[in-house]
Amino acid sequence: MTEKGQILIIDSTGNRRKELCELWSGVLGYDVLCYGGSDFIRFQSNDKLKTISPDELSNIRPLACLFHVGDHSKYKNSTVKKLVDSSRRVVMFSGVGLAGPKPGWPSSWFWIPRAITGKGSASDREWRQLGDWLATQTSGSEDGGSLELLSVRKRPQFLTALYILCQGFLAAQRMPERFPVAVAETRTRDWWSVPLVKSAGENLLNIVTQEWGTEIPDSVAKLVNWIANTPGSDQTELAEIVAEAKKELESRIAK
Amino acid sequence: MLPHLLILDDLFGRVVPGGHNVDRENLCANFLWQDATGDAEANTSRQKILKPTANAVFFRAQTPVCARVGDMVENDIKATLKEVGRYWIPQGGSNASSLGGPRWTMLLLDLCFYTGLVTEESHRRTPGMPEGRPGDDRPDSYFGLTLLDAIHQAFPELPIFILSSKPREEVSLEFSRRGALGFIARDDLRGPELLEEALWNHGLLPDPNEELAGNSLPLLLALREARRAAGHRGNVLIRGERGTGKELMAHYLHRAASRDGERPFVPVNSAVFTPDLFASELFGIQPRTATGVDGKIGLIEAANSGDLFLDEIADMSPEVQAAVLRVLQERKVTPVGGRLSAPVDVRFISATNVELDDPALGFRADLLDRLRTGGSISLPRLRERLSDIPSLVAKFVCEAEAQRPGIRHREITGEVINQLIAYEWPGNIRELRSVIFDAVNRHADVEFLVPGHLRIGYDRRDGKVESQELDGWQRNRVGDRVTGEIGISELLDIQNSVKFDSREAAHWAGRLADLQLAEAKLLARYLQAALAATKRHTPGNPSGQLQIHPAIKLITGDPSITASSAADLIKRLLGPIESELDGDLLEAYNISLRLRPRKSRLTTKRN
Amino acid sequence: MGEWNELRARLSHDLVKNRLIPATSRMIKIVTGSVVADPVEIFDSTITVVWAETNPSLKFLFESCETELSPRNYFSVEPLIHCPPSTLEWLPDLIHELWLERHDVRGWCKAGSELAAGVELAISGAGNLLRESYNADEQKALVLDALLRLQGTSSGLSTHLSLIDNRFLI
Repeated sequence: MTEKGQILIIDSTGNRRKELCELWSGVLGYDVLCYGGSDFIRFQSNDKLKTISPDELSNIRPLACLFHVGDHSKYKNSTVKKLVDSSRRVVMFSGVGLAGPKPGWPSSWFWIPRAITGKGSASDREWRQLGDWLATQTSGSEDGGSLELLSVRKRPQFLTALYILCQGFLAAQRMPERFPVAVAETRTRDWWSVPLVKSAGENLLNIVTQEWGTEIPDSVAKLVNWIANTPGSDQTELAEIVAEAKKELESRIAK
Repeated sequence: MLPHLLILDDLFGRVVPGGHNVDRENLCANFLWQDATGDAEANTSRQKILKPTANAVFFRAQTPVCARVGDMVENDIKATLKEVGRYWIPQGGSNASSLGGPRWTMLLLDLCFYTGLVTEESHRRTPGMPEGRPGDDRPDSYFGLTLLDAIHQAFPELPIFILSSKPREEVSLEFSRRGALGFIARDDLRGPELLEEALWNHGLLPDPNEELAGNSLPLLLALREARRAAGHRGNVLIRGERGTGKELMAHYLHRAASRDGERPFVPVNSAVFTPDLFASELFGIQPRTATGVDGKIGLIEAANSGDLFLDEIADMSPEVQAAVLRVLQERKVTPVGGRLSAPVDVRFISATNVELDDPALGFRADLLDRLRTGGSISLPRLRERLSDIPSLVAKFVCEAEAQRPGIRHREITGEVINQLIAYEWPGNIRELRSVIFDAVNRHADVEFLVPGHLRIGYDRRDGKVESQELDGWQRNRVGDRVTGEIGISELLDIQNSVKFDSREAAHWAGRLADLQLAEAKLLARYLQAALAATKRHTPGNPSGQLQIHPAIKLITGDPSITASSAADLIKRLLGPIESELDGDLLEAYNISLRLRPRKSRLTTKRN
Repeated sequence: MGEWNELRARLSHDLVKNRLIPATSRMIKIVTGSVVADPVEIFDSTITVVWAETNPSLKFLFESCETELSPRNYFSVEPLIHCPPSTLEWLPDLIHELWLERHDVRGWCKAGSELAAGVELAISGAGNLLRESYNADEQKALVLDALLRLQGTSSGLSTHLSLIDNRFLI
């Protein structure tokens, strides 16, 4: 094992897994282990791959685990879970989202929501910065701000969220047999407001208007006002309003 | 001469350390360009273009041009403007060191220029290219648009096209606003054809036939206007001083319009159309077998589906103007003696050396409007295109020598060019041609054309005139025997072209007007004599009727001069001394004004 | 649109449009005689090299599209991250399903993979023909055919990659 330590890479996409292994092993100088869904492999080069036995696995404590967010379900595998939990730091990568920890994740987990396709997705500088960060922190995911090169901070997208909730509502109304609980739940103000108002507070209408860019359509304003429980905004024709608002939102987001 | 293109592009302009810029090679192959950059890439090209369509010079618009791992690549507007200026001569000026050199035909500009650090990864992907910074590939911050602004401001006449693989719709408003003339998508398989069309319509291309020889910006702009006008059938007006090549320009326009096939070109001097002749000449004559009248196709019909070139339209009489206007409005002609009119598709290309918009000239405004529905082309004076003198001189020397089989071929010395550049050329290219032909004809047996061979600024008939070396101001002496052998127009041109050394301004101040007045009076004496000699005496008019046309024929010795030209000449001769006219001279002047009216008219002072 | 889209744009713009298509057009000019160059040298140093870089990335692009672009990802960020567990049990999967169907995402990925395979086949075919006896006119005609096929499939791939826009996100 090198002085730098071991990196565990969990990724079912073959090409990307291979490139990341080459990067962390050949370029950045770490011991690399990888898992694509079947065996755990020790990677030294493309020609030097060795399956790791279960006995060996139990002695391994990786410095960090690079875990593709799309393969999160593999965490349910007990062997994978054990190995991941024994890593001092877990870095989830890819997907859309905000860099940082996620509710419900262990404190050692940190998310870099950046599409990593292979070695070339980030510059050498960025990879080295990640390696340095892994080396300087013993545990915990605080101070992720030092990863500014790789971290993507996106603003919340309320229009998209609203659009998704509209889709959920309409699907539940149209398919009650499939969503027996949701059909009633989605008609409650709470179902809408819990996620939206928790993020936006009292400024939901302003935020939506700003994100829209121009004057928001009537249907969207009515829906948002009802969600925010603005006085005088009771809706008896919720289905109609939601259907109309969904169309407007779809058209706006697609621009 | 191949078009000379400048391509501003980070990908194609870079030099690859120790390797080949494959992207540049690909582009040159696809467009059949000769890489004329002169850098390492051009010199080590792995391909040869058999029939290049253009010479292409590439420039990265960034520093360093040859970037290695660890280098920071930054955009460089200053260096770019310097590169653009390298083969560009500002209009109105001449750069002696670049006289006759290549000029950019067009500039092709990329939109997105990547900047920042060249890392191992970015170098691996594309040698010499940096990682790029946020914003480099955002449409609202494309460096290409910033460059477009700067270049268009510094070189407003330089035609610029966008050549990019970015989507056109991202920038279609901005590139037009900032001065680019169009957009060619780099991945468009029709790229070479689109570029050819762009060069035709917007590029600064010289005349390949070299009839309008030269590479100066004013000439190239005029040629471009002609090519643009050739794309439609609208009537075109060509303006320019005498001797600037208006008929040649009409030919050029016609040839440009006839690329797809032969169309007729019928040239006409408008002054030919006297009130008696114009109808039959323009419209033709219907054959009448009963009376034995032979038919004749008129000039307009002869030009059907092609171009009718009307030269000197300022000389058109009011009757002819009205007839031409009718044809332009109705697009039909009726031959003299005929009843049926026939539709015609004729483009009128007209030429003039005066400002027809001036109401004093009496040219119909409605006719003028119709004669320029397809636009106007202004031909520059020779003194506005001095950088063309070397090529013009070379051309005229060849032509003059070709007319004299066996004559020695001569080289043109630099001192000759300098001398020719110093002169004002009131007669423009025709005058230059005369000077060169005169020099070649009088000095047939020499190998070099030197300043001493040139007679510039006066009549060149042997034995009648003398000249002195030009030394900063011209001294013209006219021989003692001023007869009809020297044209009156030339005499007036000489008078108008006298230049005074500014160092002797105090001596000459106020003297020019006196000189001109004296000369006008002298000429008036000769006219008076001619008027008296050509009076028509009849029993009813024993004192004789003035005939200005025969009088002018007598003093000019030119039997083909038209009545309207005669009237013009009298106006020019007598205009400066208008206030002193009386008798026959006054009457002749009044007749001329009636024939060729202008605003003010002189009233009879005495009987 | 995120880094997946940056990759897509880079593949479409930098590699296919800027490299593969121009290199193919250049080869056509060489084979038809407008440009004099060693055809095998140029083919190997341009088309073969750029495809070696492009192909793996294309494979990744089509394999990962569903994961990377799925609107399910919006439940990992504000504001939908605050949805209660009962909602998270059904809504993300439903949204994903609706998205798949609305844009025929799997169809797009499959078509893209097929186009990439077509380009690969065209490159392989043209390369093999070039290495055989190239000088005979008949052989040249075959090579030209193969290159025109490559040009067509590359253009198709480029167009396919450009089909993704903002509407694909939701």
